[in-house]
Amino acid sequence: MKRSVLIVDDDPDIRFNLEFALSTEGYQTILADNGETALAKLAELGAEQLPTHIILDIMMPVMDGNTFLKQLKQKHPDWLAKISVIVATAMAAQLPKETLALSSGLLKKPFDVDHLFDLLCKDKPG
Amino acid sequence: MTVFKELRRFERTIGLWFTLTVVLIIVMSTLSFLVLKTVVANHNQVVQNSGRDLLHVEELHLLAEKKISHSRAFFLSQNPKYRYEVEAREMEIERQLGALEENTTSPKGLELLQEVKATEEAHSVVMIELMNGSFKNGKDLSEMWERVVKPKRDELDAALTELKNHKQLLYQEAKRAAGEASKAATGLLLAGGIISCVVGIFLTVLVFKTLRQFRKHDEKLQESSSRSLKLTSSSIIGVVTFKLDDGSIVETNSAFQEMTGYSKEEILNTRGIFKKLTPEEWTKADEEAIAGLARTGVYPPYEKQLFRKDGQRLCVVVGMTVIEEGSQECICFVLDITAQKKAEAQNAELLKELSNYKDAFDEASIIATTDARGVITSVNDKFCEISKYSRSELIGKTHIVVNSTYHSKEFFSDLWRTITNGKTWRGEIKNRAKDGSFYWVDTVIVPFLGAGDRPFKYIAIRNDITKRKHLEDDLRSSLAARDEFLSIASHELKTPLTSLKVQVQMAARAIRNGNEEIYSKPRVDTLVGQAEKQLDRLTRLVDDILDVSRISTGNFRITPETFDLCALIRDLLERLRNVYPSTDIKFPVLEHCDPIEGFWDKIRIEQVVTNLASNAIKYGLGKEIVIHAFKRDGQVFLEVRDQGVGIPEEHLRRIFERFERAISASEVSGLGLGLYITKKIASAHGGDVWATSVPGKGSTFHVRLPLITSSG
Repeated sequence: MKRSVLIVDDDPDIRFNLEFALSTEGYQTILADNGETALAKLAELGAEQLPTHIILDIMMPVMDGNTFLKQLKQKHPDWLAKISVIVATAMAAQLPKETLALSSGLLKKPFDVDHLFDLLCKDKPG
Repeated sequence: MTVFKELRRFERTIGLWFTLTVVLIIVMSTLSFLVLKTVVANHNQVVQNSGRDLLHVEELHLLAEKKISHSRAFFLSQNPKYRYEVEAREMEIERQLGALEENTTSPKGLELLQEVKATEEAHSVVMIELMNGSFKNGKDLSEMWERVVKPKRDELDAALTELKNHKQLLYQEAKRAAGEASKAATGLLLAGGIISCVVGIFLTVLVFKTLRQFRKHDEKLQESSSRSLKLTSSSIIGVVTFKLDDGSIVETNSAFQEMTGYSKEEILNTRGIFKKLTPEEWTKADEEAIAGLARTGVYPPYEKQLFRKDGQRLCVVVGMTVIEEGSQECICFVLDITAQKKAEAQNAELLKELSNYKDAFDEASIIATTDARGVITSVNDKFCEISKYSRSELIGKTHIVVNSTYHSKEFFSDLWRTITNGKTWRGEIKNRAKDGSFYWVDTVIVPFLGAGDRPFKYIAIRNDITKRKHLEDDLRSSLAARDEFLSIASHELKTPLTSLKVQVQMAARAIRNGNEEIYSKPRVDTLVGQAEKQLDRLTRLVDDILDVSRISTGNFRITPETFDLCALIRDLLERLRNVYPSTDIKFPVLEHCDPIEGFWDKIRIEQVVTNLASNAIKYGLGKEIVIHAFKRDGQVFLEVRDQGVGIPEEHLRRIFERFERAISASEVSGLGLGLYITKKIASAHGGDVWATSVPGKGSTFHVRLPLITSSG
């Protein structure tokens, strides 16, 4: 199965660099600059072509990562069950419990790429 | 002493009255007697004389009749015996007339007498002529008699009758006068008797009254002397009897002896004992008292000091009076008040200390006292000053007057529970002043406990901690802002670091995995450009953080130099264009700009333009951005106008605060320090920054700088 990753981050440089890194390792990438666009992208892809992972920034304008997760859980809990969400944030200490519960991995910015790839290798249990 | 004075006065009065009365009675009696005697005697004499005169006149009449009858007999008989009888009657008549003349005093009497005399003489003359003639016959004689003698005889008769009538009248009058005089004398005597009686009664009453007074005074005197005796034997009050003229002491009591420590003999026999007893500084007071005593007999009590025999000083109250008016003997009462004086001095000292404490408290704190129900009974100046209420507006009210409603009901019920249980309450209270402003006071309320340990009064000592509270608030909010800033700063710093780390670790990974071929030249170019951008970003962030730190520590300074603002903006835009190579954003355009030379900090002004331009790019939604710089009224204005999201009215001021961003902005991140630093740079130059905006249509940022030249 082709692994695809939805990168959600408001910073264009981070999107650019993550896209470069993931594509180098053979991942398909989809980009979104906030929670709202991310939800739109998922809806666009549909249940059949959902990404296997989401790398999710938390502090973003328009819709932040926490809200995005909450809405995804509300609207498409079945999708959330299939996708591994890796939270990548500079402020890991301030993450709400709900976000932690819904995510399968945590990256503290600036993170090691090796750690990122380790997390991406893990499949969603079940 | 007034008793003696009064006695003397009564004695004098009675003596006077007595003398007066006796003299009056004697004078009255004598006068009455004399007047009576004289008047009665006089009147009797007059009556007697009048009677005698009347008798004389009667006799005269008789004699005249006799003379006529004798003469008639002579005429008829020619007997010389009748002629002799006539002459004898003639002489008798003359004697009687002489006697009458002697006794008659009234002019009317004299006049009548003269007339009698005249008619008598005329009658005699006629008669003698007749007797000397010779009558032949009785017819001639009778004719002669009827013609010559009878008229004269009738005249004499008439004169005599008139005189008799007059004398009769006088006699009647004298009798009447005598009767009246005796009546008057009787009345006078009666009046004298009555007056004497009245005076006698008055005198008797006076004497009785005086006797009663004497008895009263005697009682008083006895009473006062027994009182004096008691006073003298009193063991509390020292009594000294002394002589006014030489100051020698004649008597003292045991209390005075005990007081001074001298024996009676020492006091009575020591010369100048007064001087020995009295400290020098008190001799003047004594002299004044003695002088007053000599003048008026009494002197009001005064305080002085005495030396005891052992040299200790006594405080005493002294009262003096002359024993008897005009006497040289005086009595002096001495009360030892040394203990009271000592206590008084201690009390005064205590009071002074208490008042000092109170002054100190009033100076230091806001103080109020309330009764048991919490009704304010007193407030000090500081209370009025902070609450802005006058004393009269506070006294009689409770502290509800200054309640700010900031604290909960429970807060105050806890306070009341504590103090009504007799315990001290401490806490911080936010109150409201009369003008609506709030103030904080650190409060201690202490109950004053009365019977049964129940509070009857409370004192509240407060200190103004408004400033501290504000500082605390400021500190709290600045701590919160700092925390927020730190989290934003760490986020902002970590973002470029994340990109850089990914790049560097990917390169390492490629080398490790032996697939370096993925780094084609164009790709490396892009990555290096990317890396540089991240580094610039990091540098800018670090600069901003440093600036903020400098501003907050007061080390933000400008170094002015002369340059052209327009040229600076043009250069800057040129450089910016190189940094942002992408073509999808519209670059700011500088409107026509004539050189504007000013004396400013070039680097800082560059920072201002950069900040405003990058903000415009960030929030400008890629639409046109115009920069306009111009001079007006001796000032320089710089405007940066975008057509982006705009800023809501309520945020127009806030965006210039530290760590603030217009929240509605999307697609942008940053520390939110740009505008804050911009504002500080402008104000450091004496200028200003502000923004105007129509949300959805764009914003304009205005900078005003004073046009300063290096010389000015």
